[in-house]
Amino acid sequence: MKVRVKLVSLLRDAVNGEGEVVVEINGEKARLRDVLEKLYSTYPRLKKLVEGLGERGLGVVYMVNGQGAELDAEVRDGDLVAILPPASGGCSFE
Amino acid sequence: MSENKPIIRVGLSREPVSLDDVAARLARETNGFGAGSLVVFMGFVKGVVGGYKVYTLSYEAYEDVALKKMEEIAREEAAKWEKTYAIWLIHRIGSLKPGDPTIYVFVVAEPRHKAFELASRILDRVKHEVPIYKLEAREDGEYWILGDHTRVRRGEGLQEPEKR
Repeated sequence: MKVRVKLVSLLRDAVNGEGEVVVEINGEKARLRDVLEKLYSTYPRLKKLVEGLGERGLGVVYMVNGQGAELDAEVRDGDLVAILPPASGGCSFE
Repeated sequence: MSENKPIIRVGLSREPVSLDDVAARLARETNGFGAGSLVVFMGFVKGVVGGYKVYTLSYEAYEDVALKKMEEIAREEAAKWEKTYAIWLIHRIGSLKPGDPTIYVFVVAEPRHKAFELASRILDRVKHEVPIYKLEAREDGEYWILGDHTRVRRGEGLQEPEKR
C-alpha cells in the first residue's frame, strides 16, 4: 500500500524540500508507527530532527487524514499522514 | 445566543484585505441585531528582530486543517458569549515584507469590552493552535520559527536553537 506523508516547515527541508513524500508498505493496512519507521529509514535526517525537536519541548503532532493520531493508529492505502511541528506562535494541536 | 446565529467566517489569503470593506460589511450585517462594537486586530511583519533587519516573513499553512481549526476556534469562542454577533478571521500566507499585514481578527460583540476580550483570546488561540509556520529571512540568515519564538537557523539543524 502507499501512504502520502505531508511535511512542513523545517521538516520539509529534511526530505530535500519535498512537501509530500510517498511511503510504500507491504499489506493493505499498517500502524502509523510502521509508516514512520519506513519513512525515517529513508530519511534518517528527518528522524534526528523530529527527535531533536521533542528533546527541546517542540514535539511534533501526527495526523491521519486531518485528524490527530497516535502511533498505533491504523493507516490504509491512500491515507494522508502529516507530521506537524509546533505552530509558529504556539505549541499544541488537537 | 443572539437572535440570529453569529456570523463566522475564516480564510487564508495571499492578498491583503481591506479593513474598511470588511468592517463596513460587518457593521451593515450586524447593526440590526443590536450590535454597535467592532474590534479589529491586525498583525504586521516586523522590520527589525533582535537588532537584525528583516527582509521577508514567509507563511505556510497545512491548509485544510488550519481552516478547520480556525473555524472551530471562532465557533467555540462565539458560543462562550451570547452577544457575539460576528467573528471573521483571516490569516495571510505566502512571502510577506515588513509592514505587510499578517493576520486579521474582526469581532463584533456587545458590550465593547467583551469584543476586546474575545479578539485577544481568539488571537492567542489562533497563534497556538493553528498549523501555520513562519520562515524569517533577515540580514543574518534564514530562521524557521517554531513554538513560542524558538528560531532554528535554516540548514543548520537543531544544535543551538535561538530563542528571541
